[in-house]
Amino acid sequence: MQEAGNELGTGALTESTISISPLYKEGEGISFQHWLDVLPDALVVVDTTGHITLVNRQGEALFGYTREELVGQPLEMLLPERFRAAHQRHREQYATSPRIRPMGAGLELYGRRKDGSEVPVDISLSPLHFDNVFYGLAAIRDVTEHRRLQELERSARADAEARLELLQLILDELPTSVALVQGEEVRLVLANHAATTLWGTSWKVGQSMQAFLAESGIQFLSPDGAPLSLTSLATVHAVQHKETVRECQEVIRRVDSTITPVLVNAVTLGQRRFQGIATPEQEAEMDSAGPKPVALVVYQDVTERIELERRKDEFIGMASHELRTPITSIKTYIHWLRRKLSKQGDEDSATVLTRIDGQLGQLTRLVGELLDITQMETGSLPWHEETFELDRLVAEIAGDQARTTERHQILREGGGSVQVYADRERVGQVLANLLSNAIKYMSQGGTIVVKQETLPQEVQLAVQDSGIGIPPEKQAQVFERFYRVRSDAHESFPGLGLGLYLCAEIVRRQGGRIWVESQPGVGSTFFFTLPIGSTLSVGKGA
Amino acid sequence: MKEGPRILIVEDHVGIVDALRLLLEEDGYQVEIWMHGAMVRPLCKPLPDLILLDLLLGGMDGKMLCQQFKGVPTTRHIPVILMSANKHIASIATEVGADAWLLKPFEMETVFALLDQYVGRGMGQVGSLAPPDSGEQGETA
Repeated sequence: MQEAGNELGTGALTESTISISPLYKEGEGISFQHWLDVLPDALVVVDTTGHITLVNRQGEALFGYTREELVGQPLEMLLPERFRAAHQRHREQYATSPRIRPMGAGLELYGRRKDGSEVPVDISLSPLHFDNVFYGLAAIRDVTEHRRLQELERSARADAEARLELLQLILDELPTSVALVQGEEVRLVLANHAATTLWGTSWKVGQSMQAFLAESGIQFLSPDGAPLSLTSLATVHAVQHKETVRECQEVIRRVDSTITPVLVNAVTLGQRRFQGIATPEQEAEMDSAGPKPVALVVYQDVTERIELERRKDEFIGMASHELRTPITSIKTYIHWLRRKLSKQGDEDSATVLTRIDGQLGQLTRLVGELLDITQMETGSLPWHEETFELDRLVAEIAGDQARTTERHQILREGGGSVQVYADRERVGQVLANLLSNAIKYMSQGGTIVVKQETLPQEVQLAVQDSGIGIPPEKQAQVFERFYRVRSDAHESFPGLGLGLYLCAEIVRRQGGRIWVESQPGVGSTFFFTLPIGSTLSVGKGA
Repeated sequence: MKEGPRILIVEDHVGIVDALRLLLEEDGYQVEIWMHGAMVRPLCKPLPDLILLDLLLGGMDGKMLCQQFKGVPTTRHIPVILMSANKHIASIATEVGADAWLLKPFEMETVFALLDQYVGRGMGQVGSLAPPDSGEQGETA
C-alpha cells in the first residue's frame, strides 16, 4: 500500500508520460474533473479545518451522497460515529507531519454511507499544498470483497487450528501413546501426552528418531531383553518400508533403567505432507523434499496385562495344587476305608466306596480340563514332547477306560509297533477323552472299537461307537468350545463341553488332524492323526 | 519283633499326611512326618528307608530338600519319591535327582507298588496288585 501510494504521488504523471499521452492536451484534453471521475478509487480532499473541498464520482458512489451534499461538510460525516472523535485528532496530527502513507495501518477501516450502512475501506493519504494552503487527499477503496475473502481465509485457518487443537486435545486425553512420524529419518510430526509420559521425555517435533533416542538415552529391547536396532523397530519399519506392523512386542528402557513393555501398532498412511502442525522452520525442513511416507504409531503399555497374565498363571498353578491336594487325601482315606470294609466282609459298602472313588476320578478330570483350557488360552499349557511307542499307550488307555465301565467292551483293531514323537500325556488324554465320550454316549452299553492304522506319513487312530450319533450339521461344531451333544430324548450327558475342544487343540498342536464321521442313531467314529514322517528316525535313537 | 521300613513323609497338607499315615502305619511301616520348615533337620540314624517328598511346601522347598538328601553321601542312597500336582513333575524329578514321582491325586495302589519296589512290603500289608502304568506315577531315568 505504501509503495502504491508512492507510485501514485511520484510516477503517474511524469513529464515524459504527459508528453506522449494523447489524453493530455493543454486546454482541449480531458478535463480535470473528468480525470478525477475516471479514477478507480474514491477521492476526497479536505482542508485544514477538516471540511470536504472536493470529491470525485467514485466518492459519490461509495458514500451515496451527491457532490453538493458533501462539499463544505466535515469529513467525519463519512465515518461511523464511533470513529469520529479519534479521527479528528488523527487528522490534526497528520497536518503536522504530512506525507504519503496508508491510513490506520493494520486497522480495519470503515466508511459510513448516507443510508447509515458501513462499508469496509482501505485509505491512502497524501498531502497537497496549493497557494500556501494545506489540503489532505484521501484515496478510498471499497474493500468489501477483499475483506470477505480475508475473513473466509481467516476463519478457514481458525477452523483448521481449532480442529488441530481439538485433535491434540483428544490425543492428549487418550491413555494410549500416539505418535505421527514421517520420512526416512522418522521425524516426529506429532505426539500426545501419553507418549511423552511413556518416553519419560519429549520427542521434539521435527527431530529424527535416531537423534531422539541418542539424546534421551531411550533404548528399545525385544521381549527377551535383547537390544533392538533402529531398523528393526516397528515404527521405523512402517515408515521406511511403507508396511503396517501390528501387535509388535517391544520393551522401552529409559535412561533411568525403568522399563515398560509395549505393544506397537505402526500403521503406514502412505505419502503425505502436513502443514500447520510444526513450526514454519520445521515444516520447511520436513517438507523440503515434498510428500514423505507417514506412519501413525500407537504404543500400548502392556505392563498390567503381562502382570495379570503372570498372576493368572500363578493362580492356575496354585489352583491346580489346591484342588488336587484334598482329592489326594480323600482318595487315600477311601482306600483305607474300603480295605477295612472288605476285611469285614462288607462288600456292598466297599462297592459304594469304589463308585465314590470313580466320581472323584471324574472330578479330577474336570478340574484338569478347566485348568488345561485356561492354560491353553494363556499359551502356558505344559508341553513335553518325547519319543514313545504309540501301541503301548493305546493299550494302556484302552485298559484304563475299560476298567471304568462294566457294560462296554473295548476292542482293538490294527495296531503294531510305531514310534511317535509327541507329548505322550496329551496324546493319551485325547484317546482317553474319545473313549470316555463313546462310553458316555452309549448309555446302553456295547462294543467300542479302537482302530490303529499306520500310513506312510502319519498314524491314524479311530474310536468307533454305536451311540446316539451326531447330525451332519452339528458335526463340525462338536470340536468347538462349550459345545454339548443333546439327544432327541433330551437325555443329558455330564461334562463341560471342553473335552473335544481340548482334543482338537492338542491334535492341532501336534500337527495332526481330527474329524468325525457319524450317522444319527447308528453311531460315530472319531478319527485323529499324528505325523510320523520326520519323527521315525528321532524315535529310534531315544 | 522286626520293625517295618521307615518312611519319612515331608508334606504340609494335613489331610494327605493323616491319610497316608493311617494307611502306611496299618501296613506296618514306621512313619515320620515333617509338616513344616521348623521340622527339617539333618537326617540321622536310624535313617529312613524311603522319603515321600512334596514338591510345594509351606516354608520348605521340596526341590532343595531333595538335592540336599541326594547331595550327602550318608543319605544319597535313600530313595526319594517326589509328590506333586504339577504336571511337570516328571522332568522336575529328573532335575533334582529324585528316584520316582507321584502325580496328585494318585491311587494308593500306585503308592504301594512304588514302596514294594524300593523298600519291600510293610509288616501287615495284605498284598496288592501292581497297578497299570496310568501316567500318575513314574520312575526317573
